Formats: sequence, structure tokens, C-alpha cells
Amino acid sequence: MPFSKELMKGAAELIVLQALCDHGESYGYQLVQTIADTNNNIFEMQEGTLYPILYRLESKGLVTSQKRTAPSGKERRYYTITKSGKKVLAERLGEFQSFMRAMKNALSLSV
Amino acid sequence: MSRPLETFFDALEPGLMRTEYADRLREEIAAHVEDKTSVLLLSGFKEEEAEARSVQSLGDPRNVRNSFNRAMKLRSPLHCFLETVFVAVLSVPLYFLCAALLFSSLMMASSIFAPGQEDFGVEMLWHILPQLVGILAALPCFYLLTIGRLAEYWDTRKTRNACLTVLVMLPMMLVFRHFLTLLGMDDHEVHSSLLPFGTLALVLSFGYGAASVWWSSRMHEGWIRETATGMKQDTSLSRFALRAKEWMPTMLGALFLLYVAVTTGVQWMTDQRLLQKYDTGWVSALLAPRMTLEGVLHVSLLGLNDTNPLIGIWAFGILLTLLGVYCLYVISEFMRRRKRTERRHFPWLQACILSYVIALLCLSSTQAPVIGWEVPVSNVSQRVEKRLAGPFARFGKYLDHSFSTFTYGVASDSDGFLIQTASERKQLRLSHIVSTGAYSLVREKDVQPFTSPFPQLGEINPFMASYTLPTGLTCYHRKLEAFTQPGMEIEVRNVSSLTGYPVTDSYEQGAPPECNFVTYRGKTVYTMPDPYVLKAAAVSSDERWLLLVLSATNTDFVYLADVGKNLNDT
Repeated sequence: MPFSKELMKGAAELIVLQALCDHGESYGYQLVQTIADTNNNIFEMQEGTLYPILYRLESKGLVTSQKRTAPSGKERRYYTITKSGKKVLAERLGEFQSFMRAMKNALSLSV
Repeated sequence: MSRPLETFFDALEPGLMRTEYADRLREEIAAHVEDKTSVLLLSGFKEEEAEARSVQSLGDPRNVRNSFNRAMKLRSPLHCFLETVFVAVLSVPLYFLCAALLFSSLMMASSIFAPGQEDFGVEMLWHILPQLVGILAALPCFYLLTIGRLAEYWDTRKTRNACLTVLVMLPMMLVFRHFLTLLGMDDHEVHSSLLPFGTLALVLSFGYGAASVWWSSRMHEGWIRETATGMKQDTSLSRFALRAKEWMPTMLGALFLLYVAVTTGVQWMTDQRLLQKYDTGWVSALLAPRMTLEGVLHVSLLGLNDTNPLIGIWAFGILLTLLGVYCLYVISEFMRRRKRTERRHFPWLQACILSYVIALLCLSSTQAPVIGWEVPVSNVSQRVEKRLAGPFARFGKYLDHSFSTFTYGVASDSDGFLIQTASERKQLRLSHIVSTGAYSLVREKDVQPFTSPFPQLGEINPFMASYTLPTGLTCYHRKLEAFTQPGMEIEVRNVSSLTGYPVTDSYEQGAPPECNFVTYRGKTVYTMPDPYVLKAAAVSSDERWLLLVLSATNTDFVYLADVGKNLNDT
């Protein structure tokens, strides 16, 4: 299901961080697969946009990357969530849940 | 590379703002397509179709590009500039404040002093520390930049903003008050003589601070983000530790390089004798040879130097050479690999160390003594022939800092000088000296057992109550303002004997003469901007060598001048 850009803007980082947290270190294609599998293709992200998200997370120190040889024998860049990345993820999840509760209340009141 | 992928890149790359990421993005997307294509091939797609579908799944290249540009957006130049100014202004007073607190308030139990005040002067062995303190004090300021969203920070945290403003202003005000004094509110000679230095130092400090932070902020914006190798694999690092690890070498490198450049420039532009005068004061913190690296090298080789100066000089020279070669190697490796995909930041630290080594080499050759020879008192009995020290002879002076403040007398005998300090007597044999330019120190083995009654020519009093100056020696003296009118000069010519003057602190009552410069039979053999106490002087029997002992603030120097050559010229 395609969501609007505005809605996805903050959520994309959260989804990537969560995927890295759940599945450990992964390279780009693995991450796309993980996200698609986990969400049953609800989030249909353009796969190319994953990399800018990863770069931004890396520049914030939330993930790290390292080039390694994958089981296929080819060299891939593996991404790993850092301690501070996990901390930020926990904070944002808490925020998100509060936001969802508030939205739910607000919307049900207005209906 | 497949055709669809090439088309994708052709559409993606032209508008990419952070070109330093282009190679990496291209590489990862190509790998992504390769993986996806393999999966599709296994699912039964034909190769061409599989590739086309893989590329299609990446999305519109314009969207990817826009997404990238949004994610890696740079801050505006104005934003960077304002942050730079802010942090630069913040760092300089912190530097002074920390140094002042450490050396004046804490150690001298007095109020806060600013550079330029007499009380700010530090002991010989301590003058390396203000630089370390200054750098350490500046680091937290620079760390502010690593938070990265400084503007947001200041906008949203109003309370903290207010508190920080006070903290920022406090050291500024404290320093400013004393800077006014330095600017001429008090026309004391020391202050007025320090004015150019103080002004220059402050201007350079501000400029250097601003340049450092500007430079660092630029690097922060992307240059050093590509340092991924090794550092970012460590997931155990906290955000702070990661940042610190990422920033520390670059920050210290940038600071160090600018510091070397500025201090070296100051030293080259300034009269060496004037710098020597302020050797024990705050100005020494600006001098390149007093910097951290020298401190480390000196301390590490001190034991060796005391045991055998020649080995010390060689060790110092070899160590510096190795450092220089290592730095050159690292920089050349960077230059060789800079075009590779895996980018790394420029090895600033190595560049700084290299520039420091070069500075030492250059300065050591430009710092030839004004007269033939200058030897710290405690090492007057050690001599190293330049021939034996080889290319590293010039480093001799860097290893010879163990000054002492003995009182002593000197006299000449048939083959040299007799030197009596408070604790020992030494004989310096002149027959071993061919030319003052051929030696850097005086060799220990030339010290002979003292056998003859001391003195033979001059009256010796270890407490300087009295002694005789050689005939022909002229001491020019500028008296302190406290006793006479400012700027008044008194010329003391042909002081044949000061014997019998009482021991006193007052010049007026006959303490040893203080000399701005000394001539021997019309030839200048010693000159300094401010008067030093001439503790003793003697001329060798053949009238070729003149030995002067002068006392600085807490250092005594022995000057050996080859006056014979001058006299012959006359």
C-alpha cells in the first residue's frame, strides 16, 4: 500500500532501524527483503531510496557500515545498528506509540 | 554493467549534491541490482528482463536523487559561518581562562590574570602546560559542533541558552579587563613591551580559532564522514565515543597544524633575542619549539642526554627523522589511494607532525646565537663536537634545557676558565676549542680536577658580593624606570673593579651591573633588549676568548665569545 511522502518521512528511518535491530547486520538488498517480508509488502518503498536513509543514519551515528565478503562470495557493505541507534529507536518507538494513542483518541473524538 | 542500470545512473547522478557519496551510492545500487537479478533469474526470468525489473524496483532515479539530497542536506554557509564565529569566540577566552586559573589563581592564590601580565609568567618546567590546557579547553567547544544542530539547540533550549550566554560572557569579561591593561592603561615597561605581542597573539588566536572551526565544520559536513573503515564497525561505542573517536584526530590535527603555522610564523618574524627574553613568560606558549611534541621528545630523551649528550642528539635526530618519514609515507599513501571508492579523510595529524618536524629543522638553523656560543650553566662542562653529531648537531640545543640558578664566579688561567658554582668547581680548557662554531656543548671529559687555588685573576665570591671585570669590557645599562626617568640610559664604561660593594638587592647600592649589551674593546659581544645581571666575566690569557655569565629571570647563561677574531679585524 503506498503511503504519502509526509507520512513516510519519519517512519522510514524507524523501519530501517527496527529491521537492523531485529535481524542484525545486513546489506542493502537483505534489508529491503527483510522490510518487505516483515510488513507483508504494506510498505512499498522504492528500493533505491533505502540508501540515502542508511547514509543519513550513518552520519548521525545510529548505524555503522563495513565492507565484507557476503556468503555469495561478493563484497557487500553490511550495516549494523549502534548502541545509540538502539537507544534512539527505543525513544522513537515510545514517541510513536504515544502519538498513535493520541491520534486515535483525537480521531475517535472528532468522528 | 547492464544498459538499464547505466541509464538509471545517468539520470541519478547529475543532480547529486554530495558528490563524495556518488561512488559509494553507485557501488551499492549496482550490488543491489546484481542481487535482485540473481533472484529473478532463479525464478525463471530471462536475463534482460530480470535486469530491467531489478532496476525498475529501485524506483524513479529522480526520486532517489531527491531523497538522497534531502537526507544528506548541507547546512547553509551562513549557518556554518555563524557557528564558526560563535565557537571561535567561545574557545579563545576559555583557553586563557583555563591557563590563568591553573597557573595564577590556583598556584599563586591570586585573582585571575591575563596573558601579558607579569604575574602570568610561569616556571620554566611548566610553560608547556598552558598549551595542553588550552587545547583541552578548546575541545569541548569544538564538540559542540559535533552535535550538529547547534542552531536548533540554541533556539529550543531557552533556559540553557541563557545560562550558557552568561558562561560565555564571563571569561570574556575577565580577560577583557586585563586586556585593557595590556593595551596601555598602565604604561609600565613590561606591559608596553608586551603590547605588540599581546595584540598579535590575540588577533592570531581569534583568527586561528575561527579558521580552525571553519575548517573543521567543513570537514564535519562530509569530508570525514567517509572514514568508515574500522571505526564504525565497533557497535559497542556510544554516540559520544563514536563522535569523539571520529573527531579527535582531525580536530587535534587541525589545531596542531594551525598552531605550528602561527607560532612558527611569529617566531620567524620576531627578533630571536627578544623571544629569548620572554622565554619564561607566557609568550613561550606561542613558540613552536616549546610545543607538546618537543616536550614529549625531550622528556623521553632526558635520561639519555644526561648520560651521553652525543647519543641523545643522535636519538633525537633519528626519532625526528623517523617521524617525518612515517608522516610522509602516510600522506603519500593517502595521495595514492585518494581516487579509490573507499575514501578516507586527509591525514591531518600526520601533516601536522610533519610540519612540526620541518619547523624544528628550519628554526634550529635560524637560531644561531648572536655571539659565538651560549651554554646553560649546568652543562658548561659538556661539549659535543658537531663533527660527531653529524647532521643532527643542530638538535643539541633542544636537549639542553636543564638550567640552574647557581651563583658563581669565573676567572681565566693559562689554558681556559675556572668556574666556581655554589656546589662545584670546573675548569674549561680552551686548548681544546678550535672555534666556537665547531661545538654545540662542552664535553665532560675536559673537566679537570681543580688543583690550583681559585681564583687567580679575579676575586671570587660565590654570592657575588664582589668581583673584578676585565679591562676593556664595557657594560651598557638601561636603568629600571622605578629608579630613574623612563627611557634614560646610563652608560657604565670600563668598570675595572666592583670589589667591595655590599651585597644588596638594590642596584643603586652596588649590586652587580645589569647590562643591555656588552662590548669588549669596542666590539659588541653581547646584546639584549633588557638588562640582565652580569654575574661574572673573564678574558683568557691570550685575549681571544671572553666568558660572560649573565643571569636571566631564573636562568643563568654562560656566553663564550671569540673576541680574538674581532680584535684582529679591528
